[in-house]
Amino acid sequence: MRPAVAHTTLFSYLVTRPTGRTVRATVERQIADAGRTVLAVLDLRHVPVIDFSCADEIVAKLVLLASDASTHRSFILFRGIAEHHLGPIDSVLRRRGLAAAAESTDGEPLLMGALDPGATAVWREIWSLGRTGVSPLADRLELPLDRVRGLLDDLVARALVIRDGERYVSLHHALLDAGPTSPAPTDLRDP
Amino acid sequence: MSRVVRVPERLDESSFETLVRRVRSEGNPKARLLLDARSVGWVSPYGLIGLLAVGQEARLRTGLPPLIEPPRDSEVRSYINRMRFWPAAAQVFDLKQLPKPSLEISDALIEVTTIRSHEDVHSVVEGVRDRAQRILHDRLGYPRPAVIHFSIMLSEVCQNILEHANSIGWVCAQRYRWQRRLGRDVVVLAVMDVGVGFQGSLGAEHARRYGERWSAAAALEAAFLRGESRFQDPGRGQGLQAIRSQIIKWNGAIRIRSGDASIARVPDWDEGAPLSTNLPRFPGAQVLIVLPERVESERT
Repeated sequence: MRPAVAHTTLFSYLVTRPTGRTVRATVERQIADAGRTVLAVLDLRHVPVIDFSCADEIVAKLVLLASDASTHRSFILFRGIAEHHLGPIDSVLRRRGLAAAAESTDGEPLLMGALDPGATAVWREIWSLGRTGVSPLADRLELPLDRVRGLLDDLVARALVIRDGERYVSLHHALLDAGPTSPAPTDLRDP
Repeated sequence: MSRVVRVPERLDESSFETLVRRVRSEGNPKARLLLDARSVGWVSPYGLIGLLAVGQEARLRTGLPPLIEPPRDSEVRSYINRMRFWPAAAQVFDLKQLPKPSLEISDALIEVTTIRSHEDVHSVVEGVRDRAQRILHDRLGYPRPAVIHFSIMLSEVCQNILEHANSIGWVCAQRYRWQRRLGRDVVVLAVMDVGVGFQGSLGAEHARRYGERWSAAAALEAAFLRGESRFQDPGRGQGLQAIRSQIIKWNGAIRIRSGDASIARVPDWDEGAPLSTNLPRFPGAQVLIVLPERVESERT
């Protein structure tokens, strides 16, 4: 399965709930308009401040949408996450028991929010391998196959990895695999 | 016929209680209010927007725009002019004449600003960065990221006015020296509204559960200590919790007054009760945040 990629680059101060709702509505529209599975990529590199209200409206509610199996399937990857974004985002996700896949400003993988250590280890391994199956993961992590399958089911349900037949793909790998941006990035300078 | 209420000579968070008590107890409550501030010799940011809150409460209660006699003291006059008090006051009081805007550059962190909309919150937060950098980092020794944490705190506390108060409010912040109380510089941030208050805001969702124990103090405890909000959405109520946790990290103080109670995070350098009840009843919420200068050992 190769999802369509929808890029959104954010520039302004992400403060207040109405601002957050506007940004989220734009991303939700991109997902709905695609008519197929979408990997939505939100770049926060140029965001000087994100407050708790806005983080809840954008990050937590988009992650909720992605992990809702009854809606159109979507995955969310946050990029350009700096130290000052982490506090509010991590806090709003933990409050709702959610986790989100992200990449720091240095390109390092970040798992934000609440996830148990076993699932976190599997997620990191998939990020580093890009695309892999259950057996190689079980070998590398020295865990029983059934345990790894259970953890993978959890990661798929949370939309933190993409299942492609018997293989599991990191959101980062899916982004690289998609090649040049399609559709054109949305630039939200003044949401 | 107006009823005259004298403003305390030193107007801060403590004497604000005196002012509220006087407004509630002196003269005919239906008569037009005249705040006599002529003898005011010192006013804090809390006191400054406290005048607006008291004026707005009287205006809403009586339907008559109140009057105000400005301080006589030239330094106080100059200070409140620099703090842009009068443009905000013109929307509350019946001012015969608006003083000429000050040409002096203000050294305030945030001059008196009316919060009516989310655009106002954006404007305050986006405008504070350079001054916060200069005051919090350069003068008070906070690490650079504190400027962002302060902006987040400011955003959340101002949004509280719009999300929960159903009313306009005001914000103001200033750095000054607390020589007697602390021997250090502090930043004092004050935010106020005269809306429904915590008890009114949380009542629909929580009052039944508390029964007869439901009060302004119970509502403040629910919001401040447990992050409860008027919404069922679990994502709500985080702003105040985040502010409290940041203030604890900075060993600062916060006091929220609402209705007839107040709740506070009292640091080791301050005195005062964590919870006060039986205060003179006043609508809305009045928030005071004090961030002390970092001592050498805290600067690493």
